[in-house]
Formats: sequence, structure tokens, C-alpha cells
Amino acid sequence: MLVPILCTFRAKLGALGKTCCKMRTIIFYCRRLTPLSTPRLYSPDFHSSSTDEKELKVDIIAEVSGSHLEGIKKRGFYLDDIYQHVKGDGVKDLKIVEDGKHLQITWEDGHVSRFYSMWLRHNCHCGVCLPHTSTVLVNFSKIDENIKVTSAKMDGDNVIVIGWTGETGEEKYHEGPLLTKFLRYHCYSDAADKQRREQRAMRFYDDKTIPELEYKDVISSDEALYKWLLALSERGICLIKNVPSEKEHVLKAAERIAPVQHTIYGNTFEVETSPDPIPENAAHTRIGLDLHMDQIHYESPPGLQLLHCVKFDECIQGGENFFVDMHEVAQKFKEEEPELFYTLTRIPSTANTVDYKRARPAHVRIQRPLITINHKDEIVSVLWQPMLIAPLQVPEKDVEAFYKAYGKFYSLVHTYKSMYVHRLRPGDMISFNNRRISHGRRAYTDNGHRLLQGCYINASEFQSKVQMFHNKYGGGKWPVRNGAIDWQ
Amino acid sequence: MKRDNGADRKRRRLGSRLRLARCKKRLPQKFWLVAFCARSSKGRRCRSQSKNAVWSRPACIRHHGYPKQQFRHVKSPRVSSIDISEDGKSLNIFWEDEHKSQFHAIWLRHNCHCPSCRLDHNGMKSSIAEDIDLDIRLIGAEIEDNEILLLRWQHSNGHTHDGPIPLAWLRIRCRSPAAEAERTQARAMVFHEDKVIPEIEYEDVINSDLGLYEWMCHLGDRGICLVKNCPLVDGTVAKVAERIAPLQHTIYGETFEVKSMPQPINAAYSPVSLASHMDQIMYECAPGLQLLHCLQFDSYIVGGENTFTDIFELAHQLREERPDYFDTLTRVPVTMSTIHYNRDYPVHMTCKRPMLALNGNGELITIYWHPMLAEIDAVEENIEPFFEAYKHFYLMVQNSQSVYKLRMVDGDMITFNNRRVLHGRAPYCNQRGLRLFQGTYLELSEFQSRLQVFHNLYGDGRLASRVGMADWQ
Repeated sequence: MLVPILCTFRAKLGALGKTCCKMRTIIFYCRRLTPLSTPRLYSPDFHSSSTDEKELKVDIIAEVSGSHLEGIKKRGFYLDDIYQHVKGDGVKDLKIVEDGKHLQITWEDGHVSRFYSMWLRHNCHCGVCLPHTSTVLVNFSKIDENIKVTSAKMDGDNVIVIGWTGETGEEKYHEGPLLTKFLRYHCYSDAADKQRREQRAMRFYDDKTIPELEYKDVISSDEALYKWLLALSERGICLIKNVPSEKEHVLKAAERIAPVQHTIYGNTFEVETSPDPIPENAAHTRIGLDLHMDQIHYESPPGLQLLHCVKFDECIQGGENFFVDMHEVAQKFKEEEPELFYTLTRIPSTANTVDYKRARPAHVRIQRPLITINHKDEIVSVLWQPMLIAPLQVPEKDVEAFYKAYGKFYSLVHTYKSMYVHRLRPGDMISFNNRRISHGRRAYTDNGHRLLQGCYINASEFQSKVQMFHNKYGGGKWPVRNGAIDWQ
Repeated sequence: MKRDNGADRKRRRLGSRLRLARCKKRLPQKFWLVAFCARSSKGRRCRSQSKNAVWSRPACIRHHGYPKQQFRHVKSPRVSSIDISEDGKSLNIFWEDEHKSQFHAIWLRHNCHCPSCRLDHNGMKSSIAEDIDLDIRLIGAEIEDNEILLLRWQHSNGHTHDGPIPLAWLRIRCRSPAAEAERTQARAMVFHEDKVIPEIEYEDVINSDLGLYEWMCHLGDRGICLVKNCPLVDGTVAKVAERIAPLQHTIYGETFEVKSMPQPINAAYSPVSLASHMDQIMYECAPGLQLLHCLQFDSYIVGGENTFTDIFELAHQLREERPDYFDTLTRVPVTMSTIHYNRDYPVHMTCKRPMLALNGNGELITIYWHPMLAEIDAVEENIEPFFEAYKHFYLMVQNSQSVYKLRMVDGDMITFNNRRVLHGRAPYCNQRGLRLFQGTYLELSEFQSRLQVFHNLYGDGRLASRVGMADWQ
């Protein structure tokens, strides 16, 4: 089923142009005829005209068939998966306040929303402003920034039809529908914002038992996949058991969530002792590795990390992995040493991998604070990889202050008792959120073979999958922050 | 210890008193476990230190993954004199070119290049909390063969530590105001009044490293370059992109096609005009470089030209003309989202942050601009000032006359920095003829890395200028 489109051509192209010029409006149906309702009369220009001789203006207006609600649904903007969870969207009262600057909605559950006129205009759901999925086509250059809401009335229970009037700007009047579900979902009042933030906040658990799932369940069922996503989202770590010993299974598991994230170590990488005395990474030796997150030299460091234990001989001593929740530590640091905490959010540190000896030389460098807070003073991101810390590049006055804060935080991380510990066994696949949980390894002996295969998943892709599954199976809740640099 | 011949690693010959050593092969393995895992400062000295010297000198020094390619551009690493301040907290170095550097004792200790502090794996550190001693003092400094600075520190608990640091390494990390100004200037984006798209031949990019370097220089400098005469073969865009780095995967796949289709999942896949925007800013790390290969663009199609706008140039202009609007846009975060369940790979991706981001020095480092994806969910107190600032900037972007314009022809491949140069498209009539592009993306971290490597290998070793990443450098 496709959208019939209403086009106006004013092409100066000889005979064809003349014919088109006579016909002011031509209606096209992409696949089959659909009866038209009242066509929209306004057709904003999307582009300033060129001064070229072959002037062409194409104005496309998506037609609404039937009621507003049906039109919105036909164009794909009634987001069932999300809106099925929106409660309390019955409208008790609509009021235009402050001379058209705001529209105040009192919902049936008593919640009150106030929407700014321009915000409403920007989100108009009519066929002109939202003809295609996922993209807004409102042209700001035509709209008066002091636009006023001059009318608002219900059209059934699910749609409010709003009229806007502008004094300056090309568009003097516009009318369009907005879904009540959309408005309730996107309400930006302090109360609604607070509720979202509470759902998004990370929770920290005293009990440091790693949740476990079976590989065959995760691969074959959405229910088990959701459990896996929940564990990764809420705790940041999960162990998948009984993975077959062939090497490609780590990819197979990862792709249940999203395509793997490529890094300078490839699409997948192996962790085993290298015969080369100077391997490209400390992980390819038998030394112990302190707590760290992988590859923070990237603008978007790896989100999830999966490590499949292919081989780990019993006779080997050492080699256990330990994991610490860095956000938990950062939260404690914020409470105990606020001044030092804010220093780490203010003074940036540099991370780099500089290696010209690799097959493809790398000189990846980035500078930013180790801890990022949002505008509400909430911790959104912690980056921790002491081994990749490049020389500090800040003004002289900040050097001592930085080291004071860094040293204190370093000690806190290294003396933090509450950690997950696990010795991997062949068939285990440990999966964790590399942006929240730092991992380390004890040194191990030379009397056997230890081989892990791993891969990464992008943090944005992971969060997208979690949000989708919350909407499909989880009552529509907001996903917990995952450590990405995102101020939500 | 025996001198290593160094043939396989092309190390520079050092002075006679310093020996290169393959420590790991010579020393028992347990030493290394002790050296790296021990928490005592006593266990951290190299075994080969002589007791007769004024202080013990480490037996080995490596460049720890900092190859000589990085240093060959460093001017005047020769030193006139060095002195330690009275309180032992800083070291002053006076270079022969009259430059002066000052380094803090803690910083020097944190960057000690001895094998127990710096793993031999691309320069990774193994330093531990004890090294970060705020009362540490420098008690000795000596230059070795004009290349190495040998230092001795004393911790507050009385333990001492000796270690080397290469002088050239220090010079490029000098934080003096003069060096800082130089670095800031090197990193700053340059804006060009003439909006002529540089061109390069496909053959040069594919077949030669120098052609590749020239291409990357244009992308680093202007943020846009046209690759001409590409074969009209599917997959050419991936081949060209992979000359820089592996492709950046997004929700549109590894490569994507841009052509008009019914029920498009994106406005780009329809013949409407597209206001200037950056692609996919709902990702934490939005696509960096974008390559669009014109496979077919029938000449009788009317419309469909591309325009490219340097948004950093406009943002700097906004900062000068309306600093209040600029400030609002750096302060108020907004959500950028793509929510689309009705597609093969359902997506619910959102990311909230201010549209303009500054670093600690107040320099503009990154911009996110896609009017079609922005939700503008600022809280009530910010919403009015935000819309005022947003609209003003929106108009600046839309009405800017200083733009690159291009109507592609078959075989053209336009490549641009998606995080700096916005792209837009005039509407076109798709009743007859085909307009088909194939595109792909590359990550900015990878691009910047490759460019920096090439500046060191083939260029003059300059710092790569900012590319629009969320990076405070």
C-alpha cells in the first residue's frame, strides 16, 4: 500500500512544460487508486528556487485519506510498538495559555503538560510536515518564531488538531494534527523528565554473582535473548554457558544483538599468548592485566564485549578474570570526594594507541575527560584504561590537580572489593558492557594453552536493541543508561 | 648484556654506555611477572643498573612503539641546559633554538620510559597508584648523547626511581605557551573562501600511497574532495573507502544505495529536496567520512544537484555575530533519534546532547546537525531560548551562499567529512531516468589515525587538524 502524492510542476521544458503549466495540479498514484479526501491547500517550498533556466519546483504533499488518525497510521507514524505502553493519554482539558504561547493539556490521570507553540509546530503530524517515516520536513525559514497556537480541538480521542498563526514569515497559518499518545510520550515537563531519569538510572547490586544463560536458548529464542539483554543492560555482565567449541560462535551470538563493531584488532580477535616477544598488545602475553576498558582511544569505544573461551587448560594456574562496575566506583567517588570528582569531569585526559609496526599502522588519539556528566549532574560516561593513557596535555595549572584526582580515583578502583570474579572454562562466553564494567586478568603460568576469541558491539546499536525489546516484551520502559556519551 | 643487532626493528644506535637488550629473552620469566605485578617500588629497577654511577642507569631503553618516523620531524631536540627547580617539583629544559620547556615532576614520573613503567606493547603503561605520588621530587637529571634524558625521582617514602625519557618525545609534548599556541594553530580547522571542490583521479587514489595521501589531505583540509573517473561497477565505493580504513557499519548496512523508491524508509530514498544535514547523528559516533559514488545520473533528469555547506565555518560566524545563541546551542541538549520498527532491521536509536560541543579551552570541536532527526525535547525553561537560537542558525545554514555545488555525472565519487560538511539535495523529477548513487561511511577515529600516520610517513609530521570528532585535542 503506498502513499498517493500530489505534485505541482512548473517546469519550463517545451511542450511538456506547457502542458504541465496548464495543469496546476497532477495527482499520481504509485500503485493503486485511493479515494482522496480534502487535499491540503498549502505546499511549502522546500528549497529556494535556482536561477537556472530550467526552473523546476516540485512540491510534494502527502495526502491524508479518511480521518487524521487514519492518515497518520497510513504514513507509518502511529508507532504501535511504543504507543501501546503509553497510559493516561486521555485528555481531560485543553487550554491555550499565555496568549497562544503554550498549550496546556490536563490528562485524565491528573498529569499536566505544557507545550510550547513552536515545539508543537515542529512536531506537526500532517502529511506535509511528516510525509515519510523517521524524518521531519518542517521548514523553519518559513515559520514565525513567535508563532501562536490559535486553535486546538480534539478530533476523536486520539488526535488534537491545532491551528497556528504567524505574523512574520511566509507561513501565516498552518493546521495539523498531533497524536495524544505522541504528546504524552514526549512530554517534557519536569515531572515526566524526572520519571524518565529514574528509569534510566543505573542500579548497583551488592551481590556480585554473574547471571548465567544457556547458549542454545540465546541463539534460538527471543525470550532468552531478552533475558540476556536485560542482564547486560541492568547489571552490565552475563555469562553464556555451553557454547560449542568452534570459533565462529562468538560472532553468531553477537549478531543476535547487532552486527559486530570493527576495531583496529579486526572484526573478531583472539586472546592468547603470542610467540612474538613484542606482541602488539599486552593481552597477548601471560602478564596480569589491571582493570581497564578496551580501546578508549576511539570516539565511540566498543560497547559490548564478548569473550568466548575456546581453550583454557585446567593445569594452568592463574588467568582468572575480574570485573568492576566503574559507574558504581565513580558514584562512590562523587559522594566521598566531590571536588576531585568534578576535577576529573573538567580536566581532560588523552588516550592513544600509536603503533607503526602493525600491518596497518595506527595513530589513534583522543582527548576528553575520563568522567562525563550531563546537564542534570548525572554520570553518563566513565572511561578507564590506565595502560592507554597518553601524556597529559593540559595547562600547567591543571597538572597537579589532575594527578591528585586521578591518583585518588585510581586507588579507589584498585582497592574496590566488590567485584565479579570468574575463571573461564572452555564453553563459557563472558559478555559485558565495556563502557560500564572494567575487566582485568591475573597472570598465568606457561604450562598449557589458553585461547579466547572475542568481538565487540557498538554501544548505540546495543541500546537500540534493548529499547526495542523493552517495547516489544518489556512494558515499554526506558532503557538503563549504558555508559555511552548520551545526556538522556 | 649482549648488544642486539636490531636489524628486524630498525632501532636507532644509541651510545656505547646504553645497551639495547632483548630483556625478555635474557631474564628469567618470573622476573617479568614480578616486575609487572609486584606492588613494591623496590622491585621495579632494572637488574643491570651499575652501582658505581652517580645514579643507576637503566640498561635498556626502547622507543616503546614511538618510532623514529614520529621524531624525524621534531626540530631541534638538542638541549642547551637543564635545571631542576629548588623544590624539585619541576624540570626546565632550555633548547638550542631558544625554546624553553617546563615539565612537572609528577608528569615526568608518570611518563617514565623504563621497562617496568612502560610495557613494550605500543607504549602501554604498567604504572600503578604508587607512582602517582603528589610529593614526588626530582633529585637528578642528566642528558645522554643528546637523545635521552635520564632522571631520578625520590618518592615521599624515601624510595627512588630512575628512568629515561627520549628528548624528542619531550619536545613534541612541551606545554609551554609558545608550543601550545603552535599546537592550537596546527589543530585549528582552516576555512576557504573559494568554494571549489578539489579533484583527484580514481587511479591515483587506488594505485599510489601519495595519491591516497593527497586525497586525505583534501578531506582533512577542506572536508570535501571529488574522485573522478571511477569505474561504473558496483562495489567501487567500498574499494576506495577501504584504502583508508574498514567501512563503518550503520543501520543502512555496510554500503547503501540512494535512489528513489516507493515507501522509502528514508527521505533520501525519494525525490524530495533534502535540507542540508549530516547523516545519522543518532549514533554516539555518527558516520565520519561519507563517500557517494554516482553510478548513474541520467542527464535529462531535472534537478537533483547536491550542495555542501561547511557548518563549522558558519558556527564560527554565529559565535562572532550572536554569541548568546551560540552559547545556548552549546548548553541545551536535544535528542536526535531514528525510531523505525517497520523495516528489515528495526531501530530505536536515540542520543541526547547539545548540538555544538566545546572543549576545555572553549574551542568548538564537534557539531551535530540534522533538522530532520532532531526531537528538541529541551526542558521548559530552555525551550524558548533554544528555538530562537536554533531557528537563527537554521536560517544561516539554509541561506548560506558560500556553498560547494555539484551536479554529479556517471563515474564521479564525492567524498566528504559528514561531521563537518553538510550535504543537501535539490528535488528532482524521477518520472523518467535513473539517479542512482552507492555510498558508504568511514569512522573519524580511523580516518584521523590514518592521516596522522601519513603526515609522519610522507608529510612534514604536522598534527592532523580537527575533523569534528568529540575530541578535546
